[in-house]
Amino acid sequence: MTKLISIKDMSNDLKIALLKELGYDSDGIFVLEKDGDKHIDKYINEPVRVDNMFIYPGSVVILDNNSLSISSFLEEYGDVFG
Amino acid sequence: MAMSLDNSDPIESIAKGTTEGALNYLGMSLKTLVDKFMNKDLSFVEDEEVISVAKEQRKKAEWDLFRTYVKDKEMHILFQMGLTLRELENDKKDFEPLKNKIRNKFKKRGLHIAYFIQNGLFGKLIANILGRFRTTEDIKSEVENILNNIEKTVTFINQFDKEEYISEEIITKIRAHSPETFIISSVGSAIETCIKVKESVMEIISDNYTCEVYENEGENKRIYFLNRKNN
Repeated sequence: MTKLISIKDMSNDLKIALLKELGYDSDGIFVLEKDGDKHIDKYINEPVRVDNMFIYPGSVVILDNNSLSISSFLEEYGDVFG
Repeated sequence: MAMSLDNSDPIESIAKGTTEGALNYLGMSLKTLVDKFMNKDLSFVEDEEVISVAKEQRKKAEWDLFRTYVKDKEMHILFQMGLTLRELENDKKDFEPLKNKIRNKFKKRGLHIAYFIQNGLFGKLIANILGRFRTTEDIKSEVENILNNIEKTVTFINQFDKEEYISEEIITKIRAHSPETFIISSVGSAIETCIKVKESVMEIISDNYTCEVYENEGENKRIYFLNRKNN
């Protein structure tokens, strides 16, 4: 089982550094793809904000942290958090 | 004059130390966080509560029952949304942002399905149809039929609805589609209109339909199940 940790108290700089390590970028507000386009939450078709991310390993899933996206994720990936 | 670049420069040392310190979290360096993430040991979320709520909904008996009868994944997500809306409503939290997301993705029909679940209609529907359908497969079919055709099988009365207009609309739907089950649901100040609507509708369709009522004074709800007679 993957352990879930809250990044509520993580600095924006560290969040952005983390995104860069994972192959993404940021303009300080939104998560960006390598080409500079905003990264879109695949379940709600909206851009993901750095201050409201959910990041899951594997093929690196980055979503907006809202109930619809999370429930859609759990439906697709299973009860990965136990 | 050339700038000194060696590590004995106190200002550079402080700046480097500050930067390195800022790239630590919960005692882990950035490298450690990334390594653990890549190893699938860690995932990250801004606010754990959203995930906690989502996990809790998936442990409920109502969810297990729903999954027994409905296999469609989109319906599963809408069911979860209904439970979440119910929880937000009970906790007196703002559920409009979630409703908007549901409507944007699943349109009005999807929102009505979530609303159906939010108002506890699934469990009451099962209770209503259990005695009327012989097999589990028949029950599954009926549940799927109601949800997939919710605009033709369920009416939610609100306090501003005009009784004559809604009655006419329901009668038209029943005549056009002849559903096995039609549900009229109301809460609070809409109950009075709901009662009148039921009476008007049953006056017209009672040759072919019976009526079963669910009433909960504590929750201030009234729900009518119009069940087709199968002669």
